Amino acid sequence: MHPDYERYVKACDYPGVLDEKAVERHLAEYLRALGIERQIVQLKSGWSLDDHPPLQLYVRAVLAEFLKRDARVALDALGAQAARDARVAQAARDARDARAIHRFACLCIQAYSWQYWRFELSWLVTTWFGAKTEAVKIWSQPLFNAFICGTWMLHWTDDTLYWVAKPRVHTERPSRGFRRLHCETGPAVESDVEDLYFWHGVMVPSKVVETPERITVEEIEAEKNMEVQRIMIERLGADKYMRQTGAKVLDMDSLTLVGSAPRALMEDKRGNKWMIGTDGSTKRVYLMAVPRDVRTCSEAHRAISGLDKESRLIAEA
Amino acid sequence: MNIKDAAQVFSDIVEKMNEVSINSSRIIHRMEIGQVVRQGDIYIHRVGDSHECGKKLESRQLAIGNTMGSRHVAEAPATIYEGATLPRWCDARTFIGPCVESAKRFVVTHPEHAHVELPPGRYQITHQMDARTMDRVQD
Repeated sequence: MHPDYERYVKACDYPGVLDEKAVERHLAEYLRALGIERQIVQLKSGWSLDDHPPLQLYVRAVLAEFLKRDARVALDALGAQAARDARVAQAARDARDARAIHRFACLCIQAYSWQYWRFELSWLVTTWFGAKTEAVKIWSQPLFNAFICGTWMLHWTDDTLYWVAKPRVHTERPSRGFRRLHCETGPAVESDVEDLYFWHGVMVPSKVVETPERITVEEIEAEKNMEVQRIMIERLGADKYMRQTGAKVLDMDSLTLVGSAPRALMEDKRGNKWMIGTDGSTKRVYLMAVPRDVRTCSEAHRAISGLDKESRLIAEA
Repeated sequence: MNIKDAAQVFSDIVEKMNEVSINSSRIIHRMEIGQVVRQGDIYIHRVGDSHECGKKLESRQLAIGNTMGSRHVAEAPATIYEGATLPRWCDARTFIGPCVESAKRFVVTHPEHAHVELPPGRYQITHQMDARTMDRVQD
């Protein structure tokens, strides 16, 4: 085992210690090792682009690039994890108001940066464990030390290296599996860049946690991530959702496999069809979009599974 | 049925699910070619030994992505291949996943879904589709 491994594990329990002076000392050493000159600046809670001209220049340059490219391609480039928040980028592109641009800057720093790279240090500093040559050791050790002293991520601009302290995180430990992010009253990740909200490990928009009564049917139906959609319905209240969509039941049956609950085919007032199905092991209920021409639960399931007949299914979990 | 019935049906499904749902492993002792097991949003199809597999992969994960929902993992001794062709009983638009092969029994694990233990053989993974996008379901 590497002699620094235990320190690393301890430092991964966020937020841990924060020694700002030590961080900046180690980052200066890191820059010297790379032969790069930059100002070192901590991005603290409450920051604004007006206070950080280098960051503002960077964000404006990215937005200008957005205008040159097809927006869809640009949004895809931000990566799947950022896809939801990438709508903010679209908003920034359209609205150009200060708040939207600020959110876009947050996305650039905290989700994925413009060129795919991401300086989230818990990952990057593991280079130190495998460093064999002097050329790698010389930069990976000070970076490792910066992480130990409280750095979460870095963000580069032309003349400044911004660093962000580790966030305060709220987690739960399910009966099976790993610790996961969850907070029922506010952000599960309290970050100096931007707070993030999680519901039992799934990242959701802030209103899903803080003001679920304001979730709209349109938002639920526009949500493409099934887990997020499931949580939105749960938080709004399935009863309320059904009432608001004017849903009527077209069919109901059960697969009768171990753990299988009944399922139902619904049609809303706009003619969209949805199948309410369950997972036999996670106790989750999903509202799955199905083609408009299906008439039964079995047809709906065949349409989304691609199976020619359901009798092929011998178990589900 | 009226609108109230829809809400009631939803509530009934939730209630019934809480009664019947079990999280213990699904142990499949025997699986014929053409039979299928579902784990969350992936379908595991038993296919013949001549089913085309594609190139061998290093990853053991059966769904692309870095979310918890995508962590369907075929554990050793299974070998994972990229997947080259759909089983003949699948619609041509079905979203294809990797192919899995094992000479011994193996387990497909997931952090939340029940694990599935499968007999030796070759398997093709497919993904549940979203009817709005005709793409793989996102989770």
